[in-house]
Amino acid sequence: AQNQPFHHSRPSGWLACCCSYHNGQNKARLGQVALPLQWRTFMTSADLFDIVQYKLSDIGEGIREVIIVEWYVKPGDKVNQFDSVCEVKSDKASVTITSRYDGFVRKLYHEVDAVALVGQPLLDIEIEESAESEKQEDVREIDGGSVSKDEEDKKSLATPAVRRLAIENKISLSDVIGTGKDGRVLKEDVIRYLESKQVAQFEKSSASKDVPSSQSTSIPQTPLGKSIPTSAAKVEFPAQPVSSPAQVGEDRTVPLKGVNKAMFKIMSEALKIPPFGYYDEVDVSQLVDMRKRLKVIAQQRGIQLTYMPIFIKAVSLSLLQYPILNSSLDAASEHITYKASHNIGVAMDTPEGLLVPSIKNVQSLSIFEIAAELNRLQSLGLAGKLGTAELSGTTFSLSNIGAIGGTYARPIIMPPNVAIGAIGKIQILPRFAAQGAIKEAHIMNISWSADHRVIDGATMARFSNLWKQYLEEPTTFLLNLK
Amino acid sequence: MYLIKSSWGCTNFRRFTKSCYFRWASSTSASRAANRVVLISTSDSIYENLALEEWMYEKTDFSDTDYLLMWRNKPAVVFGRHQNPWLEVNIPLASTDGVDIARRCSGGGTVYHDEGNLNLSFLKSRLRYNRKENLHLVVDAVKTRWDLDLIVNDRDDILLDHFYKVSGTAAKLGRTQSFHHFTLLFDVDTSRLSRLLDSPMHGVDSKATKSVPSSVLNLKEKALDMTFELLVDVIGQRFLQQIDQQMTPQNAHFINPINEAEFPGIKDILSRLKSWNWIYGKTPKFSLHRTFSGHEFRGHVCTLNTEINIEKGHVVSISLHLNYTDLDWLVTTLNTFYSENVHNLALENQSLSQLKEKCLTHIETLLSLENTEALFCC
Repeated sequence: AQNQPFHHSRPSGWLACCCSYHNGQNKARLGQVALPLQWRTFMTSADLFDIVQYKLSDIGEGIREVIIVEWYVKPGDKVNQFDSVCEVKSDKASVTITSRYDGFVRKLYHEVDAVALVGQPLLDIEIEESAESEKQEDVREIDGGSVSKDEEDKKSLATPAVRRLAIENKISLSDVIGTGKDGRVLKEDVIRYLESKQVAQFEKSSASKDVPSSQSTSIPQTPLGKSIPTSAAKVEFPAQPVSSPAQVGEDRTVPLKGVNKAMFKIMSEALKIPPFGYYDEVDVSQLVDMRKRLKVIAQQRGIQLTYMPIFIKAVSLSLLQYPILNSSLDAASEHITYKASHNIGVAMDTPEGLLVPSIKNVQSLSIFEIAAELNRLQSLGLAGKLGTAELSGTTFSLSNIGAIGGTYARPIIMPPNVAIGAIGKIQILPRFAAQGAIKEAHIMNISWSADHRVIDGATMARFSNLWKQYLEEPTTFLLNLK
Repeated sequence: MYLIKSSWGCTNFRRFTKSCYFRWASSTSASRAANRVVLISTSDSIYENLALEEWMYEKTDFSDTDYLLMWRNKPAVVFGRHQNPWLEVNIPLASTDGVDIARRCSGGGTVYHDEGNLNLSFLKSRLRYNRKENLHLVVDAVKTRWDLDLIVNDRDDILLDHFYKVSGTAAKLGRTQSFHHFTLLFDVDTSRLSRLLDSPMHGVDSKATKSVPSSVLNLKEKALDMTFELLVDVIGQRFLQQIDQQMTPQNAHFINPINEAEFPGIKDILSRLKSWNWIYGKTPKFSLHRTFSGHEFRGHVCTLNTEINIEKGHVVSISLHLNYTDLDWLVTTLNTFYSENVHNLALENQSLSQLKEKCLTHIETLLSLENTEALFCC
């Protein structure tokens, strides 16, 4: 990833072990966010400090280079996180750069009046690491490295610290899906695997409890897309969550881990996107009728047919006319890639949290095939077994927040995608028919968000109209059969 | 497919234009702060107003409030954080005319202020920093009240009739804080503007931001009834209307910048902004190269080259070069004198006059020539 914020530099002569660092390729540019806590060095010397190259991060407005105006620190100074380190200028703006770390300044890369490029090192900061635990692990590392019982473990790439974590928790590294470079297993992967195992156990134990059916009410725990309440007349509160209530009266602080941490990082990235929203309502009365008939046929084939596969296929057909909505934006190099495959992500509320696995190549799949694939992903999601293959490669996302409740939403675009849609619940509402008569209509709201750097309102509007047309007049699907 | 698309497109388009524009416009408000406040300064001192702006930038919490600060000053010339005042301003003229000279903490170029100029400063969280949004807000607000051809160009200037510059922009960015401010010329003294922004200094070699000169015109030339009060009202209303609010005493009021109780520490910022070290001392280092030729001395036409290096507003070295070898001894003497006496001389009248006196005395004792003064022009 060309825009990694910093790179770990090690003085020569230290014990060269592989050092895990978070690679941004697999998970939507997560690597762009600094993760100092993950840095480890394995060394024989007593010196336990890390020197980090602090690069000039993107200051926005397409600015590629700035001039250094003034340094507020010099080599040897102690610097705390958020302290000002220097002042730089672009054409119109004077920008104060602050430190991301606590530590000591070791080297300044530019003099005053010199040009500094975005993405290039600005200064070196020596970061302190917790000395005690490091020392102990050093000793064990050298021992543990040579005694490797499990042959399989050797095949999966992982640092000694990660291996130790796996051994301590009695798991085999080959069971863990590695998300690092070359399939390397990272500490996060092990933690996530452990959590999913715990959740799976919990799920088994709680299966005997009374779980409300998914027919009439919306349940927070089930994945989205299973059912859409079709009745607006009956207002029912969602069933109580199955898990036991949290302890009352005591605060509980936990670090962001696993899926929550990933979501935190993605959302922080997503904040950089200037979104605009486009909302509309779709009269799906004909679709509701059609589905009633088709559902029976699908069940004979062993497939649960919900509205979601139809929505997904309609998105894909509409994307054929507006391919820019299926593109991927590389903000750093200001390139967009029009993606050939329509890999439609479907937001799922799993026991681990929000996950967005995608259905690949929707443009070549029939609605049946999409339904089957969606069922498969949902069961994987429930079991906590959604892997990188399912979770990566999304080009466009859909969220069915209506399954839980709600009509309008403002979904957050997942970078590097440029658009996302949130489908509200279907309500039965009165609408005017011909000659002013009132009819019952099934109304569903759609909320699109798009990246305004790439998509303009007219394109979004036309795409939405086309999608809406497919759903309001399902027979138009026929005209697109290939 | 195409047939159906066009027929559906026609019937739907009309229905959607109205609804989608309305929803589109209102959906972007999700990225705005929950609250907005309009502040109008009661001070007409450039230093006091800049101090207030800087105090707010350092201390105010912008997490869910955006601020619009507006003010006007008595005559002043204001240049950017990384500019060279000697290069941008006619300093002697400013001091004789009693015009204040000030350095901002934001970037950008040099502008002239007087009571016919409105200053607007949008102070927001760094996350909501958006210059175009601010400029368009003001342009739209002004255009609703007056029929003017105003556009925002890609340099973030506001142009009248696609040609005359009526506004210059500058910004300051920190980790969580930001402000974007710009001027709006509605009735300034344009001839004074041109004279003050025309610096007599040349031969400068420096990396300071250079101003880009443009033709200016007052908005009042095309909108005869424009006043400061009307502008403040129209722009302030618009700022609040964007979050569906009306002007009330809670969200729009006057403010006295020099109120230590309300803004603790503002007096320190004020004295710093008025200090020589800030106004002149923060100039990026530069050197002056001048050539004087045509003087005849004993039948030889001489060319004198001078190089003066200035850092932090102080002269750090002076050196001369003459193309007449007979006078080499004099040149050497002078260069030696400079290297001994010029270490860190503030680039201002008093210290330079003292240097000149000292230099002449030194030469006189060496030479006892009557027309020593005629030879050297310090």
